[in-house]
Amino acid sequence: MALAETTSTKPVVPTTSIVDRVWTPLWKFSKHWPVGAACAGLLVIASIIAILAAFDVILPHDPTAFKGSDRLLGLGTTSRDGERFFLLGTDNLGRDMFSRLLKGTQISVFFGIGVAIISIPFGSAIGLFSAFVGGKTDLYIQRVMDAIQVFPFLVLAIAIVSILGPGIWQGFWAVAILSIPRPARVIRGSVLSAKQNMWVEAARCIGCSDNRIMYRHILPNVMAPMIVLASYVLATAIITEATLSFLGIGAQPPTPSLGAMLTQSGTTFFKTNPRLAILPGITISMLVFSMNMFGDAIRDALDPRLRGSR
Amino acid sequence: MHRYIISRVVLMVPTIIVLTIVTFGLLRIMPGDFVVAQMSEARGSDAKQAEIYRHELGLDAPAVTQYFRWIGGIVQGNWGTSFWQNKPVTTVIRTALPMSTELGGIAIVIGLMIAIPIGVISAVYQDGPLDYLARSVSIIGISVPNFFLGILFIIYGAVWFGWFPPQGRHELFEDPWGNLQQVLPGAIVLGAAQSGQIMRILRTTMLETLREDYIRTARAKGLTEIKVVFRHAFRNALIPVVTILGFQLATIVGGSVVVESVFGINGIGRTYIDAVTQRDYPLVQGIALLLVMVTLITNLLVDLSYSFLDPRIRYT
Repeated sequence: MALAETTSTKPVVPTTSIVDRVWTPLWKFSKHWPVGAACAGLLVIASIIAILAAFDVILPHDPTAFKGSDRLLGLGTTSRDGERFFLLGTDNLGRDMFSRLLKGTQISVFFGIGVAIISIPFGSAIGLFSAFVGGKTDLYIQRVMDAIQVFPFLVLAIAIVSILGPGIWQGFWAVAILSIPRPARVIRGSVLSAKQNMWVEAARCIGCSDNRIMYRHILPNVMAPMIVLASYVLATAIITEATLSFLGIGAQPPTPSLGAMLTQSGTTFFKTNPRLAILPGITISMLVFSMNMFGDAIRDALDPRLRGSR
Repeated sequence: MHRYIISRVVLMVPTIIVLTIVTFGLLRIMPGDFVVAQMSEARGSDAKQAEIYRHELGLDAPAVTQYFRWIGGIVQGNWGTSFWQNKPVTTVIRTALPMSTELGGIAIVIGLMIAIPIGVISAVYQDGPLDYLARSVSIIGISVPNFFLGILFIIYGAVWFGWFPPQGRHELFEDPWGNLQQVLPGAIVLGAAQSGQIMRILRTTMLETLREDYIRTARAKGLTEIKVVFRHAFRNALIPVVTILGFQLATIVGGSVVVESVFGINGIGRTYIDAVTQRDYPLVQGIALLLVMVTLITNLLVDLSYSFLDPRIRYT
C-alpha cells in the first residue's frame, strides 16, 4: 500500500474545495479593503436584525404600544412600575426607542432590498435589450429613460404618492419605478462595450442565436457593475424612503419608519430630548454609509485600472 | 455647431410635450381636486356650490379640452392663474424663485469649494492617510440624509448658540442678515451632499488622467508638480465634474424640497408641495414645466461645455 502511494503518477489536480472558492477571495477582499469588509459585516448584521425584527423575535417591547406614564424616559431606565427596561429610553408617547429603531431598520432594509429586486432586473433587462438591439429602438428607449431622469426625483415621487395615497407601499412603487433608469443606463453602457469584443463575433460565427449571445455571453460579463449598482440603488432607496416619511407622505404613524421618527417626535422635542432625532438619524446614516462604502470597495476590487502604483 | 444646437433644441420639444401630458395626467388621476380641497376646509360640501365653483375655474370641461386650453395659454406666454393664491402663476414663481436660486447657487459654490481641493489632493496622494480620510468624509457626506443634517443644525444651533432659523420671508436686499441666516445653513447642508459626489468623481478621473502619457511628458520636460497637476491633469479631469454638476441642478431642486421645509424657506420646493396638496393644477403644472425646461437647457449647456473643455470634442 505504502509503495503504491509513493509511486503514484497521478497528475496533481488543484483542489477547488468550498474553502478555496469562497473563503480565499473573501479573505483577500477583507485584507485589501478592511473598511469595506467591516461595512459588509455591518450589513449582514443589519439584515439579520431585519429578518428577526420582521418576526418580532428580538424586539424587547412592542414598538407601537404607548404608555403615558413612561413618557420621555432617558437612556437605560426602567419604567415607572419597574417592570420594563428601556435600553435607549422612550419617546414622547412612552414607546421603547430601541424596539422602534430595530423595527425601523427592518422597514428600511426591506424597502431597499425590495426596490433593488424590482428596479435592477427590470432596468438591466431594458439596458441589455436596448444596447443589444441598437438603432432606432435604442434611441427611443433612451429618450424615455431621459424623460424619467429629467424630472426631479423627489418631485415625481411626491406626485405618484399623492395619487396612490400616503403609505410605505405606495412610496415603494414610486421609488421602484423611478429607480429603473439608472441601472438601465449603466448596463447599456457596459453592454455596448462588451459587444465590441471578439468573442461576441466568434460566438456569432459558430452560429449562436441572439438570445444565447445575450444571456450566456454578454450578461455574465456585465455582472460586476450590476453588483456595484445594487449597493448604490439600495442606499438611494433607503434615503428616499426616509425622506418621503420625513415629509409625511411615506410611512404613516404609528409605523416606526426611521424618517418618520425624525419628524414626529424628533423635531418637536429636540430641545429637551435631542436623542429622539439623533438616534434614528444615526441609524439611517450608518446603514447608508456601510452600503456606499461596501459598494466602493467592491468597485475598487473589480476595477484593476485604478489599483496600485502609477 | 449652430446646426447641432438647433437640432438639440428641436429635439427638446417632444420631450417637453410628453412631460406636460404626464404631469397633466398625473394631476387629473390624483383623488380630489381643488374644489374638494377647499370645501372640506371651509364650508362642508355643497354640491351645487361646488359645481358653480368648478365652472368658474374651468374644471368642468373634459380633461383634453383643459389640456389644450392650458398649452394654448403657455404658447402665448400665459401660464394661467393659481387657484389657491389667485395670482398669475408667473408671479407666484417669480416670488419663490429668487430664494431657491440663491440657495442652490450658494450650495453649488460651497460644494465645489470643498470638493475640488479635496478631490485633487486625494488623487495625488492616492492610498495615503489623507486619501482615506477624504474618501471617508465624502462617503459620510453622501450617506447622511439632507434632513438629518438640517435637523442637527437646528438642534445644535439652538442648544449651543440659541439660534433659530428665522421664519417668513427675508429678501436678500432688504434684510441681508436675516436672509443669510435663513439660506446659509440650508446651502451648507445641500453643498455637503454635493461635494461628496463631486469629490468622488473628480478623484476617479484624476487618477485616470494622472496615468496618461502626456502627464509623463509634462513631468519629463521638467514642469513643476503643481503645474502638472493643475494645468495638465485637472483641466482634463473636469468633464465628468461638469456632467455631475448638470445632474445635480435637477437634484438641488428636488433636494431643496427637504431643505426648504426644514429651514422654513419659501422657495420653489415648498410652493410645489403646497400646490400639490391643494390640488392647485395651474401652479403645479407651471412649476413642473419650469423644472423640466431648466433641466433640459442645463443638459444642453453641459454637452456644449465639453467642446470648450476638451477641444478634441466637436459637434457638427
